[in-house]
Amino acid sequence: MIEFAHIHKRYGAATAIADLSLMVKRGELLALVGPNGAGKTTLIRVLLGLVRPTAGTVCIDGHDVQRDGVAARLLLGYLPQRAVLYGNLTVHENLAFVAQLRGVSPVRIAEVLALVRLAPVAERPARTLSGGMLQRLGLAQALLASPPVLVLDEPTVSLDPQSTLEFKELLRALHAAGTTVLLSSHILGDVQEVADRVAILDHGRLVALDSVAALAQQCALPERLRIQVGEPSDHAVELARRAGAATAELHGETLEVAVPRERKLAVLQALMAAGVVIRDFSSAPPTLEAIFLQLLDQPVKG
Amino acid sequence: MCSIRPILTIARRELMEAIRSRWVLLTGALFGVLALALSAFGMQSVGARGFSGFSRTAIGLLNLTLYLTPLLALLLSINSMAAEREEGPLELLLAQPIPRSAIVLGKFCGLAAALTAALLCGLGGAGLLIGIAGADTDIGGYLLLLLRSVGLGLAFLSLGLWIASAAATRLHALAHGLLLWFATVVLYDLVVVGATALIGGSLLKTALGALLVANPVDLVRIGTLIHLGGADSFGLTAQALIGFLRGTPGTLLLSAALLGWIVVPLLGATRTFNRRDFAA
Repeated sequence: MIEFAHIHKRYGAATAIADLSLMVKRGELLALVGPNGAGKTTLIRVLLGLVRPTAGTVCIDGHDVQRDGVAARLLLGYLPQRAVLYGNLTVHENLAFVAQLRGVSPVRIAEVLALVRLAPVAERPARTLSGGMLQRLGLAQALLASPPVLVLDEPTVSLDPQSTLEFKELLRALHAAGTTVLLSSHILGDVQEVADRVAILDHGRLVALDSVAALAQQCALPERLRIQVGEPSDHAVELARRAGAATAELHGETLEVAVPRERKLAVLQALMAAGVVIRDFSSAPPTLEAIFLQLLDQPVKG
Repeated sequence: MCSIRPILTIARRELMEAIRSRWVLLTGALFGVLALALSAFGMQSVGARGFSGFSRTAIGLLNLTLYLTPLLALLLSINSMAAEREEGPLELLLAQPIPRSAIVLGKFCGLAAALTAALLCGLGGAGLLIGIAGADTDIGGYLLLLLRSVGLGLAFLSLGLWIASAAATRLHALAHGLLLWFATVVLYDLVVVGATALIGGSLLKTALGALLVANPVDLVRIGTLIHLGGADSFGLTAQALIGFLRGTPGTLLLSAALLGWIVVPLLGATRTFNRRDFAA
């Protein structure tokens, strides 16, 4: 659906993106993550046609963004980090303005206003809205034409926790309905929850591209096992270590173990075989944060 | 190819913004009040009372409009383009499926409508009042001033959009805009004086002709003064060129040159805007 081919962007002597190739599949939710200055925003701006790449091409469903920008942008809705529309226009007028530009029926305005819960403030000037409401207005304009591709640049930065939850629900619903999403975010927990694949960028280069689970496997990061034991003892800690745990610590009645995925069952079996009473247990995969930190410590590919 | 729909949509929004922010109202009121004041004070200075008539008011207003209209047009266009870029709406506009040239042309059309409305309401309204008050009847001169003021405003709107399209920040754009205003409105006559002192003979006429076309402010000044018959009263450039551009060919040449000052910078603004990067 979106294909970045050998994108290179230089600003004077500084390289913002270096020979980056990336494909976002149709219906996929792909997240761009990376430290500040990694090139995420530049890449999004190249996609939108706001920035001309020094070399390389970007196509949206076969339309070259540079040569056929109008047709390419017709397929996408964009929500920037800080959505600012026209303060002197009302919420409804702002959406009517975008609807006219995109040739969208005015009937659709009421639908998106309801979707982002801004219908009660439709007649208020945009300048009177809170940061969260403005971001929802930004989302409304992005969704107005029901585009098959959504580009979201740090969309939850100015949202409160409740709005963030609602935003993630809406994002999941749109994704489930088949919308292709390219999301840039610093909030790795959110990314891990919603993304099909993650592209990790650093210094303008693509460091890794895969699902969180596959990246965790590549990095050989241990999973986190929390075991509630009947009688806490140092013996249980020792047993876990011997069964292959990288670390094992006792916190009250909970034994917290970091263990390679393939040794999880071995740890549990060793404890049970030694007569340790297991009341409950849970396991969690490695966090994207751990993967991110490990990958960025390694030499950059290419 | 640039379709008309986005241009009209953007133009409508620009006009609405200028009306809601009261720019049209305040600018119109400023011109209207100054036109009436100039007319009234002009008559008092020659010992009479009441309004002094179109022709004298038009000449008096000419210098005022030559100073104010370019400045207001530059500030309006630079603020519209550069502020929108810095504050954020331009980013969302650029992400819409419309050609970039539609943004520049739409802004120009909307701002042109706002500026024209302000000038027509202000100067036109004042002219109407002066006429009703029973002044002399050179309505043609007053209308010419009005028309040329609008033309001058449009030229500086185009120039302002070009400056804002090229500048890195709003502050840079404003600085360049003010520099342009100072150069065209204040500094230019000094250059003309220098030219007349340095160049003589047949070269002088060509040089002055070129200098006249090179500045939309002097184009309007000379064109209007020739028509109003007051060319001896204002500006050294006017005195040097009074015989050069009298008559219909001269009027057409001045009008074509003014049109060029509207169209060429607008094309420049579109080209610059189309080619530039909009980095964060």
